This record gives sequence, C-alpha cells and structure tokens, in this order.
Amino acid sequence: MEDPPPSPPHAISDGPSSPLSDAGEPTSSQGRRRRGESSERRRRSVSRASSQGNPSSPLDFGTPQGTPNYGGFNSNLGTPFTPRNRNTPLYNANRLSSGLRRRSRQPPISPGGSQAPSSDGGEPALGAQQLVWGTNICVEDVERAVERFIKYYREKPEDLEAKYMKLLEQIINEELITLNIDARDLWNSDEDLYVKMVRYPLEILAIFDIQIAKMEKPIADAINPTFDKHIQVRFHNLKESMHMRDLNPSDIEKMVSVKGMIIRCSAIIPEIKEALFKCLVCGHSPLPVPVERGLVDEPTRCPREECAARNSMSLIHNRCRFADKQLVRLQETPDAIPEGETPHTVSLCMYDTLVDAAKPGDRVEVTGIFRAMAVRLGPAQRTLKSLYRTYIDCLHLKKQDKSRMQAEDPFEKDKENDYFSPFPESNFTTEDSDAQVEKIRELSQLPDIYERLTRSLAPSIWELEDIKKGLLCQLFGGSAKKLQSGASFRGDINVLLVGDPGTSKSQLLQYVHKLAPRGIYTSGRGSSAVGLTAYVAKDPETKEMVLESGALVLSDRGICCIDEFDKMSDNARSMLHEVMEQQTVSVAKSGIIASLNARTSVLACANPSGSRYNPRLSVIDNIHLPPTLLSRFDLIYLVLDKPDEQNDRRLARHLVALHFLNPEVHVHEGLDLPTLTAYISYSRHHCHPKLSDEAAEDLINGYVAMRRKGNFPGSSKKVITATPRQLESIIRLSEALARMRLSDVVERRDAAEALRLMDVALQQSATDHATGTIDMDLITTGVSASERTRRSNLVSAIRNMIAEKLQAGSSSLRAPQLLEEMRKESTGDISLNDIRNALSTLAVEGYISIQGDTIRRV
Amino acid sequence: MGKEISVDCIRDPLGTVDSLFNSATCSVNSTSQLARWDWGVKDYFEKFLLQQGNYAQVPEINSTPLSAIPANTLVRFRGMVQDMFENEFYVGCYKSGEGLRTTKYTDSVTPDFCRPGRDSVELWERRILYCVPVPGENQWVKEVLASSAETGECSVSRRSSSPGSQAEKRQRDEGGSNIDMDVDINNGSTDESSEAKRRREEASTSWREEKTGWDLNFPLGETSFRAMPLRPCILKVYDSAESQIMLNDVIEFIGILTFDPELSASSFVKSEAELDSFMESNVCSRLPQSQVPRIHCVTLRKLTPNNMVSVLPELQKKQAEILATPGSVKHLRDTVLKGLAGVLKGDLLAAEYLLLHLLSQIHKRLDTMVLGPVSLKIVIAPSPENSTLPSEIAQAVRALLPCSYMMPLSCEGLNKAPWAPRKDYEQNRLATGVLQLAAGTHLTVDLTSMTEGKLNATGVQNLCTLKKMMQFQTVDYDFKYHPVEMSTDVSVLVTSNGARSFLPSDICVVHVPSASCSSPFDEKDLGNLRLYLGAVRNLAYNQGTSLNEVLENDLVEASRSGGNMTVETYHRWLTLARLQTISHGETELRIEHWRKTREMERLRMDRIPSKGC
Repeated sequence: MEDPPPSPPHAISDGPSSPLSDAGEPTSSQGRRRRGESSERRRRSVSRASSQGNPSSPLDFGTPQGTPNYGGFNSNLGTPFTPRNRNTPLYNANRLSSGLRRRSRQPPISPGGSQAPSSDGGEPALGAQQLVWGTNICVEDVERAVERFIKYYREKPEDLEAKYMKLLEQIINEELITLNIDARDLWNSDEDLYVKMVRYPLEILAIFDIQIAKMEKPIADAINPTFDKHIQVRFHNLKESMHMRDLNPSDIEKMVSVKGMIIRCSAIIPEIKEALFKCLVCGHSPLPVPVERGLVDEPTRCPREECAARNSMSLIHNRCRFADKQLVRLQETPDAIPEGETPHTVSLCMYDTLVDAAKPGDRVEVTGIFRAMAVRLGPAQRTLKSLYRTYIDCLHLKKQDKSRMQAEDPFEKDKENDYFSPFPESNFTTEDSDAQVEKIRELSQLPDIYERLTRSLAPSIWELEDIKKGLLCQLFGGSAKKLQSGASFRGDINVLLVGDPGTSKSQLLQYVHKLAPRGIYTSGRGSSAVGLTAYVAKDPETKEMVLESGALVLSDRGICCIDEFDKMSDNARSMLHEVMEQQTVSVAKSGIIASLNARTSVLACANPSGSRYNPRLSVIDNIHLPPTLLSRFDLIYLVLDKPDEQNDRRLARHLVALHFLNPEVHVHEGLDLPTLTAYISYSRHHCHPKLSDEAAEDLINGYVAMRRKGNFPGSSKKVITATPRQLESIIRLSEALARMRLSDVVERRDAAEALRLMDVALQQSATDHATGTIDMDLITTGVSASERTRRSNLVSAIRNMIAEKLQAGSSSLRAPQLLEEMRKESTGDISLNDIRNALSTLAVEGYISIQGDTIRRV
Repeated sequence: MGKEISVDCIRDPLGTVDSLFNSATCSVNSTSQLARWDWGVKDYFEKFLLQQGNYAQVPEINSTPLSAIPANTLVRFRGMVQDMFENEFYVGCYKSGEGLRTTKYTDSVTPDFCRPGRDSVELWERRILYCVPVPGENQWVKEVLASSAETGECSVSRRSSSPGSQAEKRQRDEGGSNIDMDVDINNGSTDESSEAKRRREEASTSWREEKTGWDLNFPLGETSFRAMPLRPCILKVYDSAESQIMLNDVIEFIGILTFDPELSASSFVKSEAELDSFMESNVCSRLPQSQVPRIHCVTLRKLTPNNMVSVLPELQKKQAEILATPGSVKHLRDTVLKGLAGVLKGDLLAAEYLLLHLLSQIHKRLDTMVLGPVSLKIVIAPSPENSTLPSEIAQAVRALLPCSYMMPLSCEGLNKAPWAPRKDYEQNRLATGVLQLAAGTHLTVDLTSMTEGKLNATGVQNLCTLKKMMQFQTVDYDFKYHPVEMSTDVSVLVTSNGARSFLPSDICVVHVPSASCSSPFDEKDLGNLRLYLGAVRNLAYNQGTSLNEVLENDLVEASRSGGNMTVETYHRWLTLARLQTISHGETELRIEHWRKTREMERLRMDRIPSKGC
C-alpha cells in the first residue's frame, strides 16, 4: 500500500458539514480515534464537556443509528466509525484530526452538540482526565496499560525480548503493515484491558494504534528510517468464539469472533477516500478532499484568490484515492446447524489487505466488530425502516484447516484441502474443550475401555463382537510413518466383510459411514473406476476442464465404505490396488496428469458367489477376488449365518426389545455417539503410540508362527500366505489398540490382542466344516489340517516304500505300480492324484526324480 | 368488556398490544427488560381464542380473499415452514415524547419515528419464516378448517395509523392481480400517486415473468382453493425458542396481518435491490406484499397430520367418543376395509395391507435404520380394466388422509428439476423440490404409466433421493458445499406392473381381483373414517412383556424352518403386528393379532411368484 500524501496539519474542512448539521445524528463512535499531539486531547475534553444531551448513549441501547459507507449508498444518518479509517494508513490521521479540529474549533460555549452522546458513565473532569465516550474508562490509564503490554509482555518468563517488540522490529524490517496481536496474550497479561477491548473495541483499537505509532518511531529510526507506514493492529484468537446464531442485539459494537464457511464473495468495490478536484477556470487543484460518510465536500469556490470562481470544480476520478472493499457472506459450519433448521448467515465487510483473503468454500474464523445500521426506505428519503441491517466489520481472518482438538500433524501436506476434518469439528469454547479433554482422558484410564467402546459401536446390531472390534481398530487407525529414505508406511487399516446375505453387514457399513462423516458410501455395482478415483469435468464457470475428485479422493482421511464389493467391475477393482497400498491415485487423462492423495481406509462388504457361502470351498473360490487384492485387506471377516437355536433366540429377544423398549436401555455403560466421535477424534490426533520392545518381540514371534503354517508341503498354488504385509497389519492393529487406551506405548497386551484379532479374522474364514474344527490353514493354504496330515502320512509311507523297493541308480518304478502297492498297504482311499502330489513333494526334496510316470531314485 | 375485547382483538390487535405494552412499561425499571418477555400478549390472545366462537371468527388467509381482510387485523394461517430467513433486528421501542412506543408486531414506521433527534432506541430480534400452504393438503381439510372462518367476515374498520384508503388500494391491487396480471389503471382513482406508483412498480418487477410456482416455492406446485390461488406467507415470529420451530413443520399461526404501502413502494427500486440482494439478501423485499402477505405472529401451534383433523374442538370431542366406544372402532375399521376392498376390486388381503400402510408412521429411529414406516407396493396386472386402478387408489387415499400426493413417474418429471431442495445462494433462499414434504404426508408413486426414455444426471439423482427417502426417511438438502440431512416421515405407496422394481418397498402385495366386489366409499361415512384414522394413529402403543416368549419362539421357529429369514423380516413382522393392534383401537399386542399378522404374511408370500421381489 502506498502512502497517501501527508495531509497538511491544519487543513480544516470546515465547509459544508457544519457541526450543527450533525446535531441530529448521534454518533457514538465518531472521532474516538486520535492521532496527533496531546494538545488535541485536551481540546477534545473541553468540547466533550460541552456536549449537548443528544440521543442515545450507544452502550445502553446497542445501536447507533449510523451507517458506514456502502459504496455508492449515500447515507446521511450520522456516522459511526467507518471501519476504513482503521485500515487506511495515515488516513485516519486526516479524518480524525479533521474531526477533532472541527470540534476543537468550537468554543465551549457553542453547543455544536455534534458527536457527544449523553454519557452514562460520568462527566469528565475538564482538562484533567480524558474519558472515552459514554464510559468511565480513563484514556490515559488505558494508554499506559497498552504501552505496558506491548513493551513488556513475554510469552515465557525466560524470553529475552518482549514478544511484540520483537514483532515490531520484524515488521519494520520487512516493511509490513499489520501487527497481529493474539488476544489470549492480552488476557493473560491484563484481564481488565481485554475486557475493555471486547466491549469497546473501536476506542481501544484507536488507542492501540496510537501507541504503536509512538513506539515504532524510535525503532524505525534505528533500523529503517525510511519506514513511514502506519502499522495496523489486528486482534485475533479471542478467548471465546460465538455461534452465529447467538449474535443478538446486545452484541452490537462489540468485538466478536465467529466461525463459519464462506459462501459468497462480491467483486472488489472501490471506495473513494480522497477526492481531487480541479478548477475548470484556472486549472488549480486544491488539496485532496477527504471523503466522509460517502459525502464528498466539493469546494464551491476555487481556493486560489486570483480565480475565486464559483462552482467550477470538477472531480478528476483517476487521481482520487480509493480503498478496496469486499462484501462476503459467511455461513454456519455444517455441524453447528441444529437439527431441522437451515444455516444462518452473516455478512462481512472486508477492507484492504483482507480483500480476497478467502474464497467461497473456505472455513474461516473471523474476528471483527458486530455492527448494525439502519436502512432508509429509499435512497432519496430520510425516513428509516424499523429494520436494521447487521454485519461484521472484519478485523482478522484465519483460515481453519484443523479442528480445535487437532495437534500438529507432521504429515499434513496440503493445508488448503480440508473442508472437513476427519471427524466432526466442534465449536467449543476453550473451557468446554478442556472439560471434554478431561473427560476423555478419564475414560481412557478405565480398565475396560476396550469393551465399552465395542459395546457402544452400533448397539442396535446384534453381536458380531469381533467384527466390531476390528471396525474400532479401523476407526482409530494405526500411525503412519515416514522414513528418511522417503518410503512411507500407511496407517490405515482396511477391512473386508464377507458373508451370507441378511447378516447386517450393510447395516454395519451404514453405521460406520455415519460415524466417520468424511467418508463415501458407494455400492460396487454402481461405481466405475473413474467415478471412484478422479474424473475430468467441465467447470461451468471458467469452461475449462478440471479434475473432479471421485469417491476415494473425497474420502481422504476418512473411511470409504464400499458395498457389493464382488460385483464391482474388474476395472474398478484394479484402481483399488493402488489406493490401498500407495494411498495415492494417479490420473493421466485429458491432458491432466496428477497424483492425488487418497489416504483412506477401505471398508468393503462382499457377498459370496452363489447365494450362500460354500464351506467346502476355500475363501478365494467363494468370493471371486484375486488373492493379491485380498492380501491388501488387513482383516477379512466371514459372517456366516449358522442356524443355531441359542443364537436365534437371543437375536429374537434383542429385536423384540428394540421395537418396544426404550433404546437407551441398550447402551448401558457405553458411550453415546457424540462422546464416541469426540474420543476417536481426540485420540487420532493426539496419540501416536510407539512399539515397545517386548511388544515387538511378541509380534515378531507371532508373525513367524504364521509364516510357518503357510509353508507346508502339498499346498496348492492359490494361497494367501503371510507376507510382510501381514506383519504390518498386525503392527497397525496393535497401534490402534494402544491408541484406544490413549497410551503412547504399545504394550504386550496390545500385541497379544492384535494377534488374536488377526487370528479370529482368519479363523472365521477358515473354519473347517468337514471336521468341525477351526483350521487356519483353510484360508492360508486352501488345505485343511486333516488333509494335510493325510498327505504327510502318504508322503512318508511312499518314502519308506521307495526306500525299500528302489535303490539309487537302479531301475525305475512306475506310478501306477506305486499306487497298487500303496493300496495294498494302507487302508485309506488313495487316488493317483494324491500319489502324484506326494511324489512331486519328494522330488522337490531331492529324494527322487520324476520323468513322466517313471520314478527314479536319486 | 367481553364483546369489546373480542372486537378489539380481531379488528384492532395492535391496540391491545399497545395497552399491554404500556402497562408493562410501568412495571419495569429499565427499557432493556422489555425485550425479554412479551408482556403477556401471547397469553392474552390465547385466552381470547379459547373463548367460545372466537377462534372461528378469526379469518383465515387462504380461505377468505385477501382483499376482504383489512390490514392490521388478526388472521390465521396454516402452513408448512419451507424456509427460514435471517433474524431481523428491528427497533423494539423508542422514546417518543413522554412515553415509550413500541414497533413490535408491526413493520411500519410511524411518522414520529422519522424525526431526527429521537432518543433511546432499542434493538430487538425477531425471526422470519417463509411458509407455504401445506403441500398435498387435501380439499376436505381445507373445507373443514375454513368453513368456520367464513362466518367471521370482517367489516371495514381500520386502524387509524395507516391511511384509510389502504384496504381499497389493496383491493384494487388484488383485483388487478386476479385478472390476468395486467396493470389496470382505470381502477385507481383516489390517492393516485402512491397507487399508480405501486402499480408501475409491480408491473415492472421481474418476478412476474418468472414461473411463479418456483419463485413462491411451492413444493408441489401451485394450487387453488375456492377459486383463489393459495398464497404463501412471510411470518415474523417473536419470542419463540429457536428449537421450537423446525423446517418442514406444519404450524398454525395466529397473528397480525400487516400491509405497508411505504415498505412495498421502496422495495422495488432497482438499484437498491441489486445491492440489497447481495449485502442484505433480504428476500422479503423481492416478494411483493400483495402476493405474499406478512404476518406478525402472536401465537402459534404445531400441527401434525394426526391432529390436523381435530384442530377444532368439536371434532376433537367426536374423536374421543369414537375411541371410547369399542364397538364403533370395529365398525369403522370394517367400513374402511370394505371401502378399500371396493376400490381394489374385492381384494381383501391387499385392502388389509393398504389399511395398515395408511396407519404407519415413524415409530423410532435407530442408528442405521428406521422402525415404523411400512412402504407398500401393489403389483397390478397390466390390463385395460386395471389402468385406472392406481388413480382410484390415490383418490381413496386422498379422501381419507389429510395430506397426500400422487406422482406418476415419468422421464420428464424426473429429468426436469431436482427433487431434493437446494439452497440458492444468489437469491439466498431454499429452492424447493418435490420431496420437501411435511411429516405424515402420503406419497403415491405410480410406475404403471412409465414409458421408455433416457434419464439424465438429474433424473438418476432424483431416483437415488427417492430410494434413500424410502429406506432411511431422510432427504439430503443440497447446500452446494455440503449436504444437510433432514429427516422426513413420508409413507410411500408404489403401484407397479411388475413385482421387481428399482424402488425398495418393504412389502409387496400382488393384486388379485376377486369376484365379489364391494362398493367404494360412502360419502357420509368419510367424516368418521377420517377421525378414526387420525385417532388410532395417535394411540400410544405399549407392548407388554407377556408376549415376549411367544414372539421369540416364533422367530426362532421361523428361522429354523429355513427360507431366507433376515433381520428385516423380523422387524417387519413386529411392525405389522403393531399396526394391526392399533388399527383395532387397542394398545397392547394380543396373540390373535400376532397370529393374524403371520397368516397375512404367509398368504402374501404365497401370492408372489417364485422369482419374486
């Protein structure tokens, strides 16, 4: 911002707006900003004493009947403080001083009422104390307090320099113009000043500005003598942030802070600040005329004595000074909308540097002054409607991309991305959120928190305990890690539910989708590969091709629920490979080549081919999913519908109760939904557990045991063996479990539980119906244990037989012969195939060599 | 004092308000306290309305012509909250001369307000709602509730503050708008300047050229009653808790109708309107007062479809009588069944299901599902004599339920506009859609008249919205950056030709016409039937624990005997049993009803072809 020309110190625009004409309009806040010499202060006090009882003290009744300037909208209704004054450098001086001087010109005798409303808070003593309009706040005290704060405030006692002095120096060095003051600091150092600031923001801000100007002078002289900008003070981070709905008439003229989402921005409106005229007769240009309240005081006579022509001035618009203004509408955040209502909006007025600071769709926190202005019935009429328009004068804008309970996430790469945080953001005040955090911490100390969480998840769905535990782990998630080499390990857990129809799988999906709102629910049948990832669309406004996010990208940092997974086309499924492991989506189409983040957890639900699960076949044969994709799922649950009387009875009881009893009876000792989401949100962001050594040992042992089971002779080709992926899954699960307890260390019991969960998940998919026992091998190898023992027996029998019958290097044996022999010896039913399998195993061992049907001993 | 008050309250409510205000000001210390309570206005008016005959005398907006109602009188309006605007801050009271004056319950600005140098102005807040006449409200409801208002024809006494010829002005304007929207200049004689000015403005406002249906935001299109187009209203509500009124509620408002020529004149100046449209987004200024009256609400009452019928005290008494005598309930039930069977060409089973379906409403919401609503699909064999069956069914429903709507599904209907409401940020309004319906509305979706065609993106979206509504009873309102889920309670009846369709209905009944035909509904029975339906819906169902054993055993038995028993089936049976019980006017489940339900289900399943739904 360039400097406006310094105004002559004594140019008084005494012209058309005479003080008396202002008499009718009470201006509560005009002229409170003061710059300049202290002599003016004294003069001001004099005139104040002579103020005539005029309309309202604004403080009692909230509103001045004043209008700020709306570009083009002329209003003569008395001025409140136009906000532009604060933001325009040095301009304040002119306006203020002119206002002041106008007042000071009046001798105490003449009423000139002008701008003094009847003060409620006591008459100022002449000359001794200056008080702010209508209050009993002593100006000098405030000045001193401000000075103290800025000069001496330190965040931590051991800091060397005062925080704001350091900032000031920095600003002067870098030639910036804004000093952001954190209101919390003010509260910590001087509560009284904070309260005053919130209640009478305009005055206090004026005082701040003046003090800063005074203080910056010596510093500027020392560091950067050419610095002559006016530093504006902006407050932010007020102690409490209000809901938009709670703004009521008593908040007018107070500093408020609201959160919301921007829905509309107007174009930039230039507002005229100084008007330059030129005499048509003699060509003389008087000095720029400050524009007040939308009225431009056109000089009627040319000031040059030689000319003195009347009504000869014309406005030269491109040498006038303008300031930027923008009108923005802010709407309530979606989660602050109460049930059954539409969102409220509020208008914002942004000036100068704040213009275009945010665009529609951003979530922001706005600090500003809430104002109301009366409207006229028509631009040409003086009568007022009984309505008032309200808006917020914006002082400071902060874009929010994190929820209040979020700590610094080191892997947060794109700050502008998040419309929604992974779990609902809450509009808490600090006290509320502290209380909430306390409660959460207490809950985490309970010994049975794990069971409680399980109980509170989807209480209306019956049983399915282990599945719920798995889903809980998914909601909590493991921790993502990034190595120095650049490889990163994902922290998201993917879960697959397979099972018979009618077993509430879809309900579980719906529930999880509701719980984690930043998620997408799609049905496999209805999704295309493109729709899942990203597609190219034509932007209606700019008519360009833009990339629109598909389901997976939209559920970044959330959970993507996919139903009917098996019915998805293969095309679509292949997309998932990349998403689930690399957590990115690569797009190369229509000239747009990009790689988008898709850090989502996938919760999928599949039905077996054929209407029911066929226990005789292995998992892979039942659901036609390639084993590579299956291995990317950390947990695979099999939900079978076994007719079981006890189960059914319990289910029936549960259902009958649902219909007729009060549902709250169910969740006894469980957490209700808001607490649950708060708990999850808090733990996700604040707790990053690390493995302890014993836990690591346990995990390694468990993993090795799992591997061993897979490595068995005679296993068929399509198996799911335990890969390092499984180890990672277990690590993630154990981290999620540790997170549930808000503990920073993964302990042995977490590791044990993680192993157990993994087992259970696999067990469910590996129940051997033939023997009725649980056989993990059915899923890992496709072969049940009984089958395995049979085979191993066969192998050893054949080995013995070959040892008897054949010698190394001697004649060969033919397989059918062997079959005969085996049949004679053993009782079981052996087929040629079995013999062949056993022989191939022996060949692998190196015991024999096989050519076609002939067996030769090695 | 009685007669005087009644006249005052209806004809001059502001006077009453003023007197109450004055007495209130004497009793408070500071003016700021006046904001916090309503000085007894609401109680006073409520007491007044409870007195005999007074309620009937208050004219109703949509049953008496607007021109017949003078400004600043007490009126009634019954509508559904379609949109909520921003809260307004207005001048609550101000000192004028010696005493305080209030502008609560008015829009207008009294002359002495405009004088500069006024002092002590207080700002208060009020809430603005935009209400449309209840979508799908059937004619008989309007008749029942309106006929009593006709007797209260207001005479022409007007409040002194507004110019006397105001009512005539509006009348002329009314006449102008009814006649083909032409500017009828011949009529305006007295007070030419403002009258002509207003006509000019109204002729020049662009909204007339737009489709009025959309601009006035009627979800189901414009309708009329007694040859008058139905009007929406802008309601200004004072002193009510925010949570009391929710979107899509049906509310009856009683308040003061205001009409201010000064306000309407100013609101159509174009330049201001442009700036206004963004900065203030004051939608009110874009809706002219002759089409959308403004009412300042004094008291309100929520209505649900169950008690809409019995809003009038005499009807309430009748309803209680019906419930009290057990024989009458049975008799009415049989009458309904006979009538429905007549419509359905003698199919008793389908008639039973239809009755239970008409009685269903949301019982409870669980996390992932909704208990209570039973959506029904009637499969009609495609034959020429059955072609009118869907519309006949819809007509029967229309005669029985207070709010219903029939929607034949077609490509154009689906492709035309989104059905879910969405927020229009340009106009700062909620642009309505077909699915913005009050709780308890009944929707008949007719698939028998579908023809071949292509659906575009909007069409697909609409189908998804409809499906979601049928399954979860929520509709997502589109707020451009995020959807807002609103819960609904709409029972959906689908009539289709085939058993399988893309709309997920809970119950599918195949229509089998039988030889024995009974006659359709008899006119004189209808009144009682409506009361019966409203009454039994309200019954508080309470299931005793005595039957739990039996129920559980049955469920276990059923799952063991095979077939695909799912959780949904169990829920359905329990819900049907509940509906069966209340249709008999009882509140506790009895074993006979349970058995009957099982039997009905068995018969129904038998009818479905093996490939079935």
